Amino acid sequence: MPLDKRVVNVVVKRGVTLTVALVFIVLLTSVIIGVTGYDTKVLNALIEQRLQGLKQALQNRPNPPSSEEIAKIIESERERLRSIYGLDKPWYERLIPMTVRTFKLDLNVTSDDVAQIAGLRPPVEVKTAIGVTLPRTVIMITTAELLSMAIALPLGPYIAYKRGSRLDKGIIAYAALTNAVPIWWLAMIAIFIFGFRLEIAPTRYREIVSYFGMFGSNPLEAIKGVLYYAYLPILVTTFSFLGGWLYSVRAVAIRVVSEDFVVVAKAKGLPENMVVRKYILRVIAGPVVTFVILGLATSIQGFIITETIFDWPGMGSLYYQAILSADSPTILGLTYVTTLVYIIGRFILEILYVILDPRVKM
Amino acid sequence: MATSRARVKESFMSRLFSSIRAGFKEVWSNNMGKIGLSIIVVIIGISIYAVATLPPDLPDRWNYQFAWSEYPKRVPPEWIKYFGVPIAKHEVYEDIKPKSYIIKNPQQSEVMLKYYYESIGKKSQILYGYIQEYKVEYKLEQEAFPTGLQVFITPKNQSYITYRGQNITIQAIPIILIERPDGLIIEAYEAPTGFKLNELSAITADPLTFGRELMNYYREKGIESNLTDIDLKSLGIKLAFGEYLGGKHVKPLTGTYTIYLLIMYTGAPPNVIENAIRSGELGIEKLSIVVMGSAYGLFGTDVMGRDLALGIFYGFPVAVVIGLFAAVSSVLIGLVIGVISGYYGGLIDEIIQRIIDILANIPLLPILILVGVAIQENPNYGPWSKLFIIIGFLVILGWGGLAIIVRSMTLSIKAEPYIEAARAIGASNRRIIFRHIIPQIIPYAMASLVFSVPGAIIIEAGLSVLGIEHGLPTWGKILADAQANRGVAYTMWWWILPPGLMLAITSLAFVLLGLAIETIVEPRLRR
Repeated sequence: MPLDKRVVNVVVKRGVTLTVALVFIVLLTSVIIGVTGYDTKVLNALIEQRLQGLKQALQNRPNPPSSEEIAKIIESERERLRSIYGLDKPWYERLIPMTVRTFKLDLNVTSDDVAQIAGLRPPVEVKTAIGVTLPRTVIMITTAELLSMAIALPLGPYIAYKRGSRLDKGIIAYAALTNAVPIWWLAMIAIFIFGFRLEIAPTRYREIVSYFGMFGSNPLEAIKGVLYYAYLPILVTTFSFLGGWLYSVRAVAIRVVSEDFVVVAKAKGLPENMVVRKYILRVIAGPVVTFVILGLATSIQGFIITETIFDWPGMGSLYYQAILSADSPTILGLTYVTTLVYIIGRFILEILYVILDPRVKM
Repeated sequence: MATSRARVKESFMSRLFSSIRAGFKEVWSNNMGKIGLSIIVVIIGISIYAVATLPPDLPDRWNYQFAWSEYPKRVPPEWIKYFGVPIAKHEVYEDIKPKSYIIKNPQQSEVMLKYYYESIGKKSQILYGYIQEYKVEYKLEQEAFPTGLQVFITPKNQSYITYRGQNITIQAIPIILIERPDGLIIEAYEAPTGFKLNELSAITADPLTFGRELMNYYREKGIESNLTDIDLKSLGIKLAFGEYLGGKHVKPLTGTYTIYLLIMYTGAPPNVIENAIRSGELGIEKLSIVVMGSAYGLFGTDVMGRDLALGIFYGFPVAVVIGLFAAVSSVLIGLVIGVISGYYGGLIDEIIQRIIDILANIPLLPILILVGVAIQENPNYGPWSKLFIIIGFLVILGWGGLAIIVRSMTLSIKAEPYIEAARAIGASNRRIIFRHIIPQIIPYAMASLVFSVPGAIIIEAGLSVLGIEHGLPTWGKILADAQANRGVAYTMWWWILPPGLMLAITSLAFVLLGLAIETIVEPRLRR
């Protein structure tokens, strides 16, 4: 079967490329962390801080050891800590083991600040922190993405069909506006107006964590709480995403609208609804699936800045806090997981292309 | 050979220019293009103006708290008065010529003395000796309260004079008096003891000094008052510029205020001090009296008293530089690599495509944050180099998309018969690329260039908001400070709205221009 062979061939080739990309990205992240040496700086400071505490504890004992003994204990403790954090080896020796462990998600515990974002008491495994924050990002960003799709998929072809109308112009203006206005500034304005002025939305969103824990004991209260905290972030994000979605779907549909078969359908006097549904939507399904899958895959990355502005305890905030506290295991873990999800999305797409569109060749 | 090459180059340039001119005309005929272009021209004009007029040390001053002490803190822009909000003007009085007196007899009837003894204040000092008096007038025209009264004094270094073979330290006692429109004279500040002359610095009207006495005064007039010291402090300067109505109510008192600053010098006989000051041996180097307004400038001030207008204006050239640099370089890279990949094909093409594949999967923002945090603390880089390192990474990660488009366009152009014809008559690859391929791609590259400007500006601002700083005052930096001072900033619209609006308007201008170019290069979008 020539088709099957072709599909297998393409799938293998794309799989290899995407895996190489994944490895490269994780390696690149470790290299940036290693070369700039900023994790070493932070870790050294952390170690010195602990040693200072140890020194004081030793001196405050009822019969303190002599100063030479203290120096000796401190020195051996420093060596121990340095080997725990891997500082006794240069960064390029840490690189490969680190990458391998990243791929197995067998990473260390997160720093305390990062654990705080997760809302758990340290020590927290990187795996756990990511697992806990992922659903929160899904609640905010992925929900917004789904909402935008739900509006744009039926509306986009309709606008394309009515090209040049007032509605069409309005949508273009709206898309241009949301493209120009940074979503995180929109978030600031929303917090300013709805949180501080009108006082109908929270001003800090970290507290949503307490409602997540409530689902088992008091589901009704939990849902109410989550909705109260989530509605503004979801609305703002949807408002911002929708413009781009409408514009892209419209752009794809416009190419179809002027095709002969659509003109014929119109000429036959078919109702507008049917033309849009049967003649336009079907044809644009392919490219639109691309948007949908890639949009969902990237939404997992969280929107670091927007989440930070809302103080939303999702993966974006986790990423940001990890970078601030130079928590390289968490940074690597997050980079790996988000890139993996994206790459899996791309992979599924490539396969779909090959299966659906016989013209695609490698 | 040389001449023909020159001719190719010339015709390439002239073709480029004529096509740009034609492009401009078409863009201008489109409404979106017209709006976009006009805004961009204004932005570039403001940028040039900002570079020419703003003080070059602004980036250093911006984060230095003491540079902003003469500015009112947390006040809205002045133009709110046109919307019916009363404001108290901000006034800085400099270069005031002092009058000098020598007072030997405390009962001596001088005008100034009359003020001192008639003022309601605690009068812990008896004026005696050599005195300098600085006098200014402040007009409160609208019913609003100034937010403070401060005097900034820079004394000369020396604080002693040699008198009869001995070095005697001269002390100075500053006193602030305010004569109000209702005739009341209040003592707004009196130093408890003398300062060494060279240690005089900033003094602030102190509500506890005048508040208690004012309360006594109003009580005698029959107005109930039971304000505690904490109440007095929270009412603060309002009491000095207002009429007390009982309870915690104060109403602004409009009219002309005369503000006196008296500096009494002690330590040596008055005429000796006078001679020393006349000869310039010691005394005051610089002095300014500042009535802090309830509004300031075009964009108000933030919690540190920074004039936000300066930051906003500085943001223009920085945004233009960021946007243009990032867009031009990533488009150039994308164009060159895309053409190479498409034209030469084979192994080169394969390698380039795989690199683009990898680049397309790199999560952009985390990498930029990582780089930003890593270089942030590095003292080897100045603010501009930090900025350019970040933009550099943005460029390195950002050319892939265009390269893919350029490659596929090159492929389809390459298959055209006229390329084959050109090759058949012996045209070089270079000639084909520059004469036949690139000119066709340039309109698309232009659209892509214009579209990638706002992305770069917004990403840079977003990084600033996360606290990744290069140190330059930009729109992102102003918003970052607002975010850091969340509780306060979210009560001040003039801190949050204008920088974001500037970002949005700038981006919008480029988006509109991009849309206009797009409808030209992609006629199917036109209607």
